[in-house]
Amino acid sequence: MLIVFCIMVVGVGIGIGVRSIPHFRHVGKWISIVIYFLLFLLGREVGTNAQLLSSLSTLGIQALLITAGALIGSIVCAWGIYKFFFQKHEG
Amino acid sequence: MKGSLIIVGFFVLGVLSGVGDVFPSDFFSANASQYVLYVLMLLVGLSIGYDKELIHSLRQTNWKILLVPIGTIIGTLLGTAVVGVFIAEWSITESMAVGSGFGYYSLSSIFITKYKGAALGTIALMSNIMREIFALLAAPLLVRWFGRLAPIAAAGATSMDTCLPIISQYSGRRYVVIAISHGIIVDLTVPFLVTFFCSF
Repeated sequence: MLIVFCIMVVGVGIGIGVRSIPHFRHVGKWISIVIYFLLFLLGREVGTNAQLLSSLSTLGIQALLITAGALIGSIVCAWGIYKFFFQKHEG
Repeated sequence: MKGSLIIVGFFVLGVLSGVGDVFPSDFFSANASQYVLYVLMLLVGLSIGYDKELIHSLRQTNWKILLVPIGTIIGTLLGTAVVGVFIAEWSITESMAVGSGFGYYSLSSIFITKYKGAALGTIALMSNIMREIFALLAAPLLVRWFGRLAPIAAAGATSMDTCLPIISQYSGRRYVVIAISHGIIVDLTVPFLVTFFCSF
C-alpha cells in the first residue's frame, strides 16, 4: 500500500516540475485510457469467473445498500451544515 | 452521463469477452496489471501536481466552504460503516472502501479490485455509478427536502463535472463555486481513502 502512496507523491512532484511543458495538458486523457483498459480487465475477470457471474445480482443488492448508507450519511451532514451555516445568511 | 456509458461499456465488453472466451487466459497477467496500476497512480499524481488552478482554487476556499466536503466525507464514511455492520460478506472497512469512491467509480473500482478482488471491485463500480445517477435524478427533490447543499453532497466527487449543470440549476448559481471546490477536495481524497481502507 505504501508503494502506491509513494508513487503518487512522486507523480505530484513530477507534475509540479513539468508545468511549463504543454504536452502534459492531456494527462487526463491518458488516465481515462488506462482506466478504460483496466475496467475492461475487471469485466473480463468477472466474465471468466462463473461464481462471480452468478452472484452479480447479490453484488448489486450489496452495492445498493452501501450506496444508500453513503447517500443518507452525506445528505444528513449536508442538511445540518446548510441549516447552521448557510441558510441564515440567505436574503 | 456519456462518461458513465463509456465506462459501463468497457466493463460489459470485458464481461462478454470473458464469457465468450475471446482471449487466451494468459492474455494479460495479474502481475502486468499491477504495473499498469502503478502507471495510473503516477499519472493521477502528475495531474494533481500539474494543475496550477487546482492548488490556486484550494487556497481561495474559505472555512465555511470547506465544511461541505468535510461533511460529505464524514457522512459517507459513517453511513457506509453502519451498512458494513449489516452485510455479513464484507467487513466494515471494506464497505467504507467502497463508499470512499464518492461517485468516482472508475478509479475506486480499479483500486478495490487490485486489493480486495473482483467481487468487491464490481460492487464499487456499481455502487458509485448508482451514487452519480441518484444525484442526477434526485437533485430537485434533495434541494426541496434537505436544502441546497444536499445535491452537492450526494454527487460526491462528481459535483465538479457530471453533476455540476444540475447542481447549478437546482441549488442555484451561487452554489457552483462550492460545488466545484467540493468536487476537487473530495476527488483528491479518493485514492488516499480507498487505499487506506483497503489496507485493513
